[in-house]
Amino acid sequence: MLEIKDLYKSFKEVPVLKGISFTAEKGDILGILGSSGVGKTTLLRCINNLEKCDRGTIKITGEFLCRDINEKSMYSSKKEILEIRKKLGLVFQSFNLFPHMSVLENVIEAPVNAFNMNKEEAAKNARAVLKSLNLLEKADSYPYQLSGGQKQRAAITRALVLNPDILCFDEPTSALDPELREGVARIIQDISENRVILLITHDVSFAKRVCSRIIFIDNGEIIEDRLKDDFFTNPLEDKSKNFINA
Amino acid sequence: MRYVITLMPSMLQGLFTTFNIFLITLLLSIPLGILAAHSRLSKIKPIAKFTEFYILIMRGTPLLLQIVFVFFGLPLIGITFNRYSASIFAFVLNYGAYFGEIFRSGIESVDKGQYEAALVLSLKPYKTFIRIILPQTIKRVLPAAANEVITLVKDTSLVYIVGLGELLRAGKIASNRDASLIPLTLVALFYLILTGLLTKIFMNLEKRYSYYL
Repeated sequence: MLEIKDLYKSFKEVPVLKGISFTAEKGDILGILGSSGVGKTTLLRCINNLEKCDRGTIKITGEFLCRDINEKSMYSSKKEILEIRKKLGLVFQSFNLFPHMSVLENVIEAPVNAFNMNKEEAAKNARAVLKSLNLLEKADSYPYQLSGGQKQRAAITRALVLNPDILCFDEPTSALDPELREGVARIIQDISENRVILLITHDVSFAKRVCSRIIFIDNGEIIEDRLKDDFFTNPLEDKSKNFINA
Repeated sequence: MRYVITLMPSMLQGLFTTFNIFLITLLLSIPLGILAAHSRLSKIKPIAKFTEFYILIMRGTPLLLQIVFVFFGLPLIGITFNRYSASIFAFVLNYGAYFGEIFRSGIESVDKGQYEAALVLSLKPYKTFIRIILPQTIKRVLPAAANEVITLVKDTSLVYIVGLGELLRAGKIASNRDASLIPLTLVALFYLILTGLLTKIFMNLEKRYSYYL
């Protein structure tokens, strides 16, 4: 479903990603772990085409977002990228809800204005998802009226109604109180069927609770890629050991 | 009182011209301003540079001179306007530049995350601008735009230079003829009422946009 091969990315000559490769299949909840500044967010941004990588291949549900040709990433055409984009969803760390729109309007914006869905149908669908995430009573509220947890559920709903094959979360627990983390963990597990979930976090207990597999990144490279239980019970590298026990 | 009533026909005629220039300038210069803001932020360098130059000229020279140039100067290269169109043309160009800078500051103040959210939701660039960026920009630029609009009301008096009979000119003629300050006081009152109304309209607009933070 998701194939990353030999990904490189530098910012102004400073290498951030140095040859990242991994694959993920339906049902995977992939935790991307690592300290701040090791390239986790850049990786997620490359996958979502918010950054262009320098070298390497990204393949999403069988289609190339970019492919490596002579050590250079060649991107697909705009039209093809538009199609690939429909398979991706991203929940931002700061949610990036549209402040001038209600929760419902936020959620139906893309279905109606990018996917030409009928407004009533989109709203019906949105309400169903809002209900399942326990946010229906806030459908007509504006983002500033929501708590952190509610904002996040609104952002998840907004991504979820587009039914992406690969859904990415950037630091999903960073804006939440500890008691809300369990709720998010449950939501993520509930929606992981039939899709890949990628989540960046440095919240060890959250990763332990929710992920099925862990990719540990250090200094732009993957130093461990293992099933969750293996990783947490028997980390192979000192860096990951320290990280887990910190 | 009777004197005031005798002044009314010429005053109202002047007011009509003033209001006309004001309204047409406003209706044309705001879209021009949005376009200018867009071009100024364009990634295509020549477009951005050209717009920068346009804004420099418009803000760097007096509006009065610009009206003179349009009316008396452009005919020299074969472009002729009547008094009214020349005034409107100069006003729209001038206010378009000022609105352009106001809108640019508004557009730039919208968080980058809003563009990225729109992008990952597959919204096309023009929909992103119209539906996501512009509404947030309008809310932010309302106070600055209100200033500009109120200045415009008073700037309309500059069209006297090409001989158009607007409100202030009507007042001055009457004042000189009758050696009285009453016509000018009346003019002041008219301007005050106009700007008062506009202030109210902008306050309402701000209130309308205050439904979110």
